[in-house]
Amino acid sequence: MSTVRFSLSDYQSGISAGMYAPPEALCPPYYEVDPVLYRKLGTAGRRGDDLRRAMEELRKRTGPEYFDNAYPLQARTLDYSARSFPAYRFILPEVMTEDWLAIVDWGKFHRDHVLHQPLCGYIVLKLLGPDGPVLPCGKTLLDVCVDRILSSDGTAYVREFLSKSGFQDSRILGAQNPTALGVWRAFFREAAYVAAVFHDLGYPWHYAERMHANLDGMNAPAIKQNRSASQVLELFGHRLVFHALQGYQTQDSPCPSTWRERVTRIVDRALAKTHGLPGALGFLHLNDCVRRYPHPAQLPLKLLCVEWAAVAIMMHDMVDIYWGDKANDTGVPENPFLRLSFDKDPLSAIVTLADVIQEFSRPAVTYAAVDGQREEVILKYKSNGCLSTAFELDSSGELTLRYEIRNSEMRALKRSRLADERRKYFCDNYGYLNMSELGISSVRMSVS
Amino acid sequence: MSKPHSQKTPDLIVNVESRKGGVGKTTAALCLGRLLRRKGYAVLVLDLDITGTNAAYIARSPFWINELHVVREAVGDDTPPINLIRLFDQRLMAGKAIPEFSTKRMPGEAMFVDLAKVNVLGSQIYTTTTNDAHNRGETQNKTATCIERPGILFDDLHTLWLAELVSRLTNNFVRAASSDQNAKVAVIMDNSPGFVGIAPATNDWLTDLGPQAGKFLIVTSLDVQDLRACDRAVSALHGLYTSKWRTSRVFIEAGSRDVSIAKDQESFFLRLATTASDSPADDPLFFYRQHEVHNPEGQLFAEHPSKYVAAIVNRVPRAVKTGRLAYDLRPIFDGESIFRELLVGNGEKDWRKRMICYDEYIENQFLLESLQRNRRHSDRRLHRLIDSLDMAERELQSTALEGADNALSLLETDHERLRTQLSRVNEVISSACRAVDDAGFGHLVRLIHDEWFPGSVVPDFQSVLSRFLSDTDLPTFEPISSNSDTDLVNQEAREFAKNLKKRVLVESRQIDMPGTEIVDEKTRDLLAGALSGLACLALTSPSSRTNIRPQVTSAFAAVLSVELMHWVEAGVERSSPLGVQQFLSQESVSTTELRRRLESFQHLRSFRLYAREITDADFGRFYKACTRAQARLIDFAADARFLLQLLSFTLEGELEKGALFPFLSGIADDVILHKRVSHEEAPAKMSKTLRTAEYFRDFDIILKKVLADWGVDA
Repeated sequence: MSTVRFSLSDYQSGISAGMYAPPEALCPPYYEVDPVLYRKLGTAGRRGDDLRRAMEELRKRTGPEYFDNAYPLQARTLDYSARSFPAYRFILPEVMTEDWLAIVDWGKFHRDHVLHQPLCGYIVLKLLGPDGPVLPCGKTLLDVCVDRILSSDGTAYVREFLSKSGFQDSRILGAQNPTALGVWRAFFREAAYVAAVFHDLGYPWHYAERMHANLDGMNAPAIKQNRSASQVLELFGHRLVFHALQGYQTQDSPCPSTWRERVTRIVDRALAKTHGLPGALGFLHLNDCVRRYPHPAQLPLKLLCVEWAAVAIMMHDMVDIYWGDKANDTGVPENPFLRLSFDKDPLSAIVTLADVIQEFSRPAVTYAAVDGQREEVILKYKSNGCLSTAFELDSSGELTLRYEIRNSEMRALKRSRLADERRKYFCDNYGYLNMSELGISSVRMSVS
Repeated sequence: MSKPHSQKTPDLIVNVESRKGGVGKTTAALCLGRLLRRKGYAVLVLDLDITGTNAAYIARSPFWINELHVVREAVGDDTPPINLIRLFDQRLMAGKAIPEFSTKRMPGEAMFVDLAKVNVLGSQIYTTTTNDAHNRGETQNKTATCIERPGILFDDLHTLWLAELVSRLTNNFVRAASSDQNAKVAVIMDNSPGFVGIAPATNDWLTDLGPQAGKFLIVTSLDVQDLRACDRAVSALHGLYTSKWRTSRVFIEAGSRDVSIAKDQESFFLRLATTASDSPADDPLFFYRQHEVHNPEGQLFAEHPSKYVAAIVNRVPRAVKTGRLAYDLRPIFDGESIFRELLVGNGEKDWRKRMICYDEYIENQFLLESLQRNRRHSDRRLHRLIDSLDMAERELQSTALEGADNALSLLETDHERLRTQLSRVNEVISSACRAVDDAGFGHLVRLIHDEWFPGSVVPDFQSVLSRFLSDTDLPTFEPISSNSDTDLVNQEAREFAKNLKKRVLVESRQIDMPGTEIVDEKTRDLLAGALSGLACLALTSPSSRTNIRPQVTSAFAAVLSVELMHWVEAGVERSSPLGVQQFLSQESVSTTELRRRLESFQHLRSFRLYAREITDADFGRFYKACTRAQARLIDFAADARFLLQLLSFTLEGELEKGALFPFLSGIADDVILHKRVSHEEAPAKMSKTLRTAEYFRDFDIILKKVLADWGVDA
């Protein structure tokens, strides 16, 4: 039995012990950031203290207990973003404001990405690190993922992307020699971390449009919130992100003539129903805004890191598109080629798995009436009671994701949702996240 | 940390760093630059201490004025110094091209570098109107403006961009220096204190280059915290170098056998794997990509940090440096310490050799105290010299007492005694110089005779006057070849001289320019007295003969008229001998202005009639020679005393300090030629100068050892 436990306290103590440092092996920034565009992006139409004000709002709304958890994690993310995703600092005030103003539903009431995203980053690092799970085959998760990149037919599109970007080093692109393994281990951990800490950018994606307005006259590509699917395909159709929507085929693979129409429908729907695709497009667009391209010093591996991270940002939230509207009637996914597997897309798979695992320390709201009045309530933010999530893998290949929730009300709520969640992600044969390549035969989800 | 993109690499890049501020990084960087320049390197010092001392301002110091070249636009000398932060803010961050360095003057934006000197590119994050005004020769109230936001200090991206700028400037300098194909190129980075700002990027960049080209000079004080911080810094640096070296061995072996890559090696491993280039010149990690058989020094460097990092200890009390006061390092460093090894080397003696004294309390002492210390010196030869100088000074005092301490009265009243006085002063100085010359300081004696000798005033002026008169219808000198100085005094000239002051004053009062009438009598007398004294000494010289005509008087009157008008225009309200001297020593007149002046002097009609053959340039030279000589004559006895002090100072302490004399030339020029420093202020300034010169000498001795350790030689 291999058990890995994830919790906020584990992350915090790990940080204190010098663990979970953001990987920087690829020497960020991934793109050569243009100082002129960056400066323009940062100064036009903004106040210098936006970030401070947003932080202050966050503290006022959530109270010191929650803020003291969220602030350092977000500060680390901000620090890391300076070179891995430079535009992040300019959108962070709006991300935070949106988080705490948006009404999602009465159970959750708000978004919590300032905490959720860094914790997903932590989960990814732990899953892929030395403390990560040992799979039934005896390998680590990282080794299996790298093995898939190097030798799986399903990841041919990745190798093709590198090759067409000018990366021809056969030592690294080819067989599983020690050099290639070292490079790909570093690469994969870093790309996974980038995707994880920015995976929920797609909620208020209008800031991508607003940012673009600041770059008026700077020859940056336009992006509009109300773009149609065909317009989005026109702008981004050649990017790696759309390989996933085409079943992870290489460019040379034959495809039916109706394929384009089908992808357009998926994009149209994903734009309206998911935050994954808007997040990926915003991520790509904001990177495009500040980079010099083409740049002679641009390394293909850096390009791949950004492009593949965008794929993962999109795919972590394509589960509903995968199943489609008719899934409840037929029990069969509408777009089966979107199914995530470690064989075809280990990066998206690992980010999606981390997103499913990350349930601990998310905030919950309680309501209290003001002086007995029925119309006015006080909101109190506190932890949802989920202390940790355990990743328990036995030798027979059965995986259990166990959420340890202290609060009985929240425990009941989570339990009520688990069945549907498991069906969507892990049901036999059709679960969105196919873990069979890891030697995992079935996945259980439980609350304790 | 990303490495700045480099195409052409200098032969040597030295990062001068410290953990505390104010320990002498800039001085160390400039001294190192000077040493490398003397070894034949083309040198560029980049001031990256953007909130600290602006290295460009140091270039104005007399110590550095002949050694440093402050980088300016190549279009001319009067443009403000280039500020690295302005290049960053207004060029790189604005998407504009960075100007190239040029070894030639040219129009446009190119930055001029002088490969014969140490080139300094200064930086200043705060710009003050005072600084700007100073460059324009103005005086304004001081206000400071921040050019760049503090993000430049702490923000990762800004740091990378600043490193990019440094890399481009380095490449540009290598290109510019390639005009001299034999010159090696050295770039010295005077970094900010602490491990902030650009420091991590520069450390990464230099360790990429390999220890043959990338060197580190750590400057520390004896402060325990400082030593400990430097200890950690050197350990980290050594760790970085050795980690890269070991990773490169893993990388090379990875192709042939199964090796494991540690997590902290991943980053560099990946860079080795992804930045290969067919051309070694374009390969930023070429040093590490070589197999051991091609790079036998690699492991050696990894094992011997002294090949690429050196440490010096500055601001050490003299008692510690001399060993009278022991400084125990043992409680400071726990266990093995590379930094301690660098400092101590083979023992206590080596440790003290790494120290530089800077006794600030001494620098404020006066000359007398220093001289008293000298008298206790054990060197007999030095004793004799000092005694000889003492005797010369006593003789000089008695000479001055015979007439007047100040030559002013002699200038106005008794020209014969003036000649005698000047002659005796010359004898005293010559005698002192002979003693110094005998002691082996011939270069010093030559410098005194060439530049500051009081006796040179009259002959120098005579040669200009002779040339001026010979170019006109005015009577010319008739040199007499005679060894006797006593019998052949030109009687006519003597008569002329007796009345000259009165006559030039009468003529100068006829200037019709408004304002000249308000010049006070004292100033007028001072200027006219110095001029007539000069004329007397020149015209009544025993070794020359001339027929005096009234037009000669007019020539001197014309000089006095221009002087008076410039005095009025300068708006000087109160006169003093030093003030008049300063005015005269800096006087000059342009050709155009002179023509205009002469035409407006109605009282000089007859002179102009005779002088129609005189070109404006001729008169300009004559005018300048007059004013320079006047300035020297007003206080020549005090100049002589200063020269004796200078000789004493130079001989202070050990004899080999004579090598420091060039450092004193700046202050001697200021006292004797430019009159910027009064004789009263001179001893204190000279004392300070000498102490600072010693300070630089200590730097030079230590830095030579550092370069030898590094294997950097001519």
